[in-house]
Amino acid sequence: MSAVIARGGRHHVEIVMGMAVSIDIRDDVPIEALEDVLRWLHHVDDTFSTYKPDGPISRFGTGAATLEDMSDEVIGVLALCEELYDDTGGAFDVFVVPAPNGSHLDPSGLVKGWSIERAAEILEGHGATNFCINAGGDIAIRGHAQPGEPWLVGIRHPDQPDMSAAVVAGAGRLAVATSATYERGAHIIDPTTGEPTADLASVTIVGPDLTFADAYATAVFVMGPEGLNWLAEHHPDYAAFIITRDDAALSTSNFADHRLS
Amino acid sequence: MGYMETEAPQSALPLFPPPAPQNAIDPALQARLARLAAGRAPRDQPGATSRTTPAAAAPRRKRHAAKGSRAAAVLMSITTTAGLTAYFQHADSAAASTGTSSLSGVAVASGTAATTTASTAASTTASSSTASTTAATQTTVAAAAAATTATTTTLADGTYTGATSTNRWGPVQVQITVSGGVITQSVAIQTPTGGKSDGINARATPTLASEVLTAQSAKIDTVSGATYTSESYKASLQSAIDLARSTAAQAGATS
Repeated sequence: MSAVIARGGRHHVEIVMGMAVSIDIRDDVPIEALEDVLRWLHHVDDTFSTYKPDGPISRFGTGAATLEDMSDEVIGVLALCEELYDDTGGAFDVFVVPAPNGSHLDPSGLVKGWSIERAAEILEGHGATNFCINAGGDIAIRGHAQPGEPWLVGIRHPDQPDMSAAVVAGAGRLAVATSATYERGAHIIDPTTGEPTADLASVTIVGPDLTFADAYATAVFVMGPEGLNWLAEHHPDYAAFIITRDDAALSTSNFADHRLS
Repeated sequence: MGYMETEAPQSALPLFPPPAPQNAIDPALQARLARLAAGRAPRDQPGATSRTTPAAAAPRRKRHAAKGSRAAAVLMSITTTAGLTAYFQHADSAAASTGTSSLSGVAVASGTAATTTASTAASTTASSSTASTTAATQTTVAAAAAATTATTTTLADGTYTGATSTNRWGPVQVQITVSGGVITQSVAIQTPTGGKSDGINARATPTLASEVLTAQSAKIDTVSGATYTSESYKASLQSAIDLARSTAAQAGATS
């Protein structure tokens, strides 16, 4: 039987995929749970990084390899990207982003959320039921922070890094993803113009699955405030919270279901 | 103190669990992917839609457990979030004249009614509220507070009308009521009309409530925000939380 990491859980930060991934497990879990998650994250990095010219996604994006050379895993991710392209009316487009490897393919906007959802499944497979994974600001939570207490997720204030603009309370399964430009500059490209989007300060999506919350955050950022209607009509199980450059906050009505303050 | 050190896993080791098998890929999709990657060909537009009419995008497949018919009407809760520098002009108090006040300082201001012109500096008072019992967090906050000096701002009682801000869908203007130095009511007094945003506003119930006052002081477990770099992470609030949490977990392990 595996050794238990620690009574009362374990907290670990891994630098991978160019960001810090914070893993906060509040159950007694075997050390293998964490090891497997880290192994998975590094595998994802090796496979999908656009900073690694020899990786599969770089080779495919630059034409050094064809789709036939790609694994089912890579093809499956790209297929999901294309489904999201259709679903979002083209607002989510992984083939428009100038990637560091010189290609026009950068699925990072999907891979991050997707890989963290898989990481959550790995932890669950080891019996963890109460944990939070924060991948550079995009969050998948399970269970509770303490018995009977929800996880409290602060949505970073765009102008004040130490403060929250709102707080989301979540228990059970919930994802919180934010797209904004205050960390990495105007990197979100409007596929219809090829220009960086500028109307919004940040977009936060709350919903069951981080894969989609992350992608929807990018899409709504591109759509602008109209994205609220799109989300409400097409994905009513997801909520949006937008902060505009005019310092107004807009949200779908169901955001109130998640909001603590 | 440091985080748990873990060597980079060996890629040769098997993954657990193995990646979920993918569904068979539609040949048409395969061709599309190949063309996109190789040809740099112009995108086929997704139907006749564009981002200006995202609602007309392809119907959604039921991918994830929809919770059914939660009210889908968009509530456009136009709120000035605390700390966002919305500028208000006093409406009915001569004392305020045309002074502008940063709302960022309003959150915890109370007592004397003195309208001051505040810089847009971060609210120092509210910052301390994030001290979620952690020394690391307090360090971070203290640094921020020191940098912003004391810009204590209080609001004179009265009604303030916000400057009109124009978003993509039109002008928006809000009004707040201050009583006893704190905002007691806020409403949108001008909502956008006309144009393509009618779809939003037809179902919108502009509410501000007192949301400008909230959210700054809550204890939080984690922070959602734009993806920080591994470098900027070191200075982030999330980093401070991680440090505190890691320390707590280690203390728990040895007790």
